[in-house]
Amino acid sequence: MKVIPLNKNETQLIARAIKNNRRAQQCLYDLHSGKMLSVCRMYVKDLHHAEEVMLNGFFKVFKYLANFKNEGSFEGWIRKIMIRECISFLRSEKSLEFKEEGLEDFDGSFNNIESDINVDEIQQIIDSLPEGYRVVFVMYAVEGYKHLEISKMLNINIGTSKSQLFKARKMLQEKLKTQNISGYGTVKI
Amino acid sequence: MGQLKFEKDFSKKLNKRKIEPKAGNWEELSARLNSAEKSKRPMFWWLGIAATIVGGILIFSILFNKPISETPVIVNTPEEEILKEKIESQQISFENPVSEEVAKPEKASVKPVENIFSGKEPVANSKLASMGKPQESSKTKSDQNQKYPELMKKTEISGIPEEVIAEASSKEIKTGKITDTEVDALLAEALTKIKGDRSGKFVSKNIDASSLLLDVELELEQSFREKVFDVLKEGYFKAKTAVVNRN
Repeated sequence: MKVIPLNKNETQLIARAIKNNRRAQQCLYDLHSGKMLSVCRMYVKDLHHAEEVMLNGFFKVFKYLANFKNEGSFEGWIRKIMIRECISFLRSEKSLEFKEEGLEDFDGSFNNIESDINVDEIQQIIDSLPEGYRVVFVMYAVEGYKHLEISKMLNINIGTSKSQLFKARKMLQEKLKTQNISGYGTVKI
Repeated sequence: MGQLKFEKDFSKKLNKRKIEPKAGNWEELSARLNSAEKSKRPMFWWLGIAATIVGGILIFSILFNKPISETPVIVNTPEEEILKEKIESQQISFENPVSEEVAKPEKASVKPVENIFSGKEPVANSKLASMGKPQESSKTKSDQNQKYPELMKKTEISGIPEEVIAEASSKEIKTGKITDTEVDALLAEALTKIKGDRSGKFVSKNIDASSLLLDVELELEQSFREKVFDVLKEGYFKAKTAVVNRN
């Protein structure tokens, strides 16, 4: 019962924002900016840059708002725009590199470690990953994209996407192990 | 390969997270949006102005530089008028059956009388035959239609005057048997009647379409010849005067 009026409210806001109503646009910005900055921060290390990317993303959102069809959620639509904006930002910074590495030293199995760390620590661990690993890991593990979608969005092979994920997982597991041992949590295998 | 446990935890916590942006971010964004809108507006104005100028030039050129067309102007007459004209022309053709006969080639006629009569002259059309009939026989015709439908069909096609047929049929009914001599006599009588009718009402002259065409072509050729002769004559006289002047 509570969801329907909220959705109605959002669709009304979208309709008004399409007509360049600043108040409606501000309302939509206030509704989604917190989450979208969090999304951008997952991909972009620097918060200041992340905010810049988010603003660019919102500018595009309002520019192409008329193209939005009420087929999916509005949040999902904005999120996609933000991710694309992040990728193009990283490309412009020339920091997005995908090293074609073999998986010779990888045994194929992961210890299913449970983490008990807070969001800031998670962000710290993710930030410690190389750009390529981080982007593929976030897209796969957090956003829920498939390897095919990731390969299309990043213009890489599916194999490259998979190898980047393996490497990212391995690195994260090792980092989590050390963190758990150093007192942040307990090792649970 | 599914999500690992720590990945699930990561995504859960990260998706819940919200980072509040700086206070002045919205002002920055709205300023950008305003500038983008402003940059859009003048384009429309310029486009409108350009369109009006081009339109004005076009109208001016059309109004003041109207070329004098030597080609004939085609006027679209409405279909109703055309239909009326057609109907009028048809009426005229009904009034003057000879002209219709000329218009139609000989092959188009339904059936020549030769088939029934051993006589020589072919009757052009059943329509023509029916045109010349008196209206008195309408009653008797309807009676006969009922009694002898087959016979009536024949007469309609061949165009024999109905009086003759009615007479013949009445004789046939009376006697029951008709001899060959009687039949011949009847036929001869009918023929003479038909001839009499034709001479009085129609000009039963066969007009051949090909001969008509030939006549027209000959006329055209003659006129062309005359033209050529005229040109030659003019040339000759000019040359003659030039020679005389030179001398």
